[in-house]
Amino acid sequence: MTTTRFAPRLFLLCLALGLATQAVNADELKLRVQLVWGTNEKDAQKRDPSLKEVDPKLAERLKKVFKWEHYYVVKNKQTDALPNPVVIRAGKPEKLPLSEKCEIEIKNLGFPMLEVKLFGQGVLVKTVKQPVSPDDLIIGGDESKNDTAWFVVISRR
Amino acid sequence: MNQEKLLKLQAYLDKKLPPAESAQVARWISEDEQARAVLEELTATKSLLAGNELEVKLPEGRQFYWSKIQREIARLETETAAQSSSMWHSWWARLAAPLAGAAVAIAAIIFITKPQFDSGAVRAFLQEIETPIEEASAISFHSQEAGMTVVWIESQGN
Repeated sequence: MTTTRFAPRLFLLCLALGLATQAVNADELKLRVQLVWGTNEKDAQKRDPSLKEVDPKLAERLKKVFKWEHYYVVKNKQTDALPNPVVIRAGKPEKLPLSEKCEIEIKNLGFPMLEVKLFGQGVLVKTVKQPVSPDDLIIGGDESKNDTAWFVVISRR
Repeated sequence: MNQEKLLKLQAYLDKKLPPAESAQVARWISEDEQARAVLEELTATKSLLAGNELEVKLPEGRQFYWSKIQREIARLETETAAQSSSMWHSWWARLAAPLAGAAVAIAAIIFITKPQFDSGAVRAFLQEIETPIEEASAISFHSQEAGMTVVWIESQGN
């Protein structure tokens, strides 16, 4: 008897909690941010043992698009301090230093838009606005002097 | 339906989910009518885009190909700016302007009211790149096969 009386209230409570959770989820994005270095040098890892190869699946996908054969996660004090995942809440931009010279700022503009700002030596270099998707967003550039490249890989996986 | 669920459906359609999660989503789709409807709509959009996309093989290297496109865009923009003053004198241009404005307004309303259609074409349309530094130019492209959107900075400052 008591169970029957409380069942609708319990249902309403669960519904309210569910809706509240959904609202919170819609306002926050969980992302993984990596700084990656691409090179054709075969012995790069022998020369610098701190280099760690990127996830093989990501490496395969990068090889489909770019000319470099080897991709390493850049490890430094800034990338070591990055939260994993990075939680981006609506309207609250997150500044993420990736090296001494480079940092990005990610802003959740509300579904479905995301804004990424890239700073080089404190100067705004690029602003990218694009809808959130299951695909990776990659901001990259090459170092012409030694034919290598850097990539900021932002993924939802 | 929330953002996470929409993205899960898109990932399921693109076969990017791990087998266990894919089976879970398949179960959810079989039980949820709304999910089925959204999946059908996404499938239709995908096949429409895939069916009408021409396969183009690049005759030269990728970076050279993209830089050629960029140069062509820059050239056309310069030409358009030069022609725009004389164009306004023709009678049909006066008619075309309000029609184009109405078309843009309708397109904007469609995209604003239906943000759940997260197809490649819509993504490309919505993407915006601003370059505050003059010497830094960027190329942007989407690779469906590799599952990534790339913004490539030619003159970088990291």
